[in-house]
Amino acid sequence: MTVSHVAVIVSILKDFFGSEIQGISPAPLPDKELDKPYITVGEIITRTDQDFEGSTGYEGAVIQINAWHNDYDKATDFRTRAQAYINSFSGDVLGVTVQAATHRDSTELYDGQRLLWQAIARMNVGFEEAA
Amino acid sequence: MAVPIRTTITGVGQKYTSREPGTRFGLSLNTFGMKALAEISGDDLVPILLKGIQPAFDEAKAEWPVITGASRDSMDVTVVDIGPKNCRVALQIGGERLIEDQRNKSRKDYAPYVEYNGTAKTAPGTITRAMIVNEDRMKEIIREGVQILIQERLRG
Repeated sequence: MTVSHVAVIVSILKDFFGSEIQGISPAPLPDKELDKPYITVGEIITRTDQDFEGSTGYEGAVIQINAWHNDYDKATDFRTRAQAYINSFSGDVLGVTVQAATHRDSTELYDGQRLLWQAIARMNVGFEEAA
Repeated sequence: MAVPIRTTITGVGQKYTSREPGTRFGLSLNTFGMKALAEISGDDLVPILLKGIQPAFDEAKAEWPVITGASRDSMDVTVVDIGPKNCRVALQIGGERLIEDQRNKSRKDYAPYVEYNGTAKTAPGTITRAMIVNEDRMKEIIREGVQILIQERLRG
């Protein structure tokens, strides 16, 4: 796949949230003041589907979405909305077809130095080179 | 006779906040048809699941980033739930064990921060990767364990 899975998810969520968020980028969180929620996206692992002839072109990845904000409710709300949108999304983005997504786990952490909540969702997401 | 055996690998205790110590990733096994077939209950599955999760535990422990060793040494396997028809075990890190470790000068449970954000030298997701990479092996161990258990029960 020529485009990273993280770039695909960033592109989808960027279109979805628009000006509601201050920004979205691959993890880690940039060092700047946040007026609005900020989303970071990372990839934990990817498994390539194989058959007897080699790779099928399908890749299953565990994607971590982090919603950051100083307000707990806002951070968790944006995490939930991001997760729900990826769950419901199907289609081609940046030459990649996004297949079914499922939720793995959710967690919230507090960054005591930056005074920010980090609402985390980990998801299984399937990707395939668009036809 | 074919017995359906379903093993699921999940985050155990789906919701974690930094106010609740300990981060868990677990294996869950349901008896389904086994109970009717061979009077197998959740209790009987405990040793099988503890053995099953061992490959992930070994790998997570080997890959976990070490500075003082306190968070790595807080890693263990725990039985989360035993029911009449199911059992859940989890690979757990952090919590009280890490907070009380003398090597941990901050006295905070920082293990989840390492798992979810990584360190300067390590990517996030050490435990999750260990669970996923070893998934097939874990299921194989569990299948073998259940098969032996059923055979023993049917033999009387």
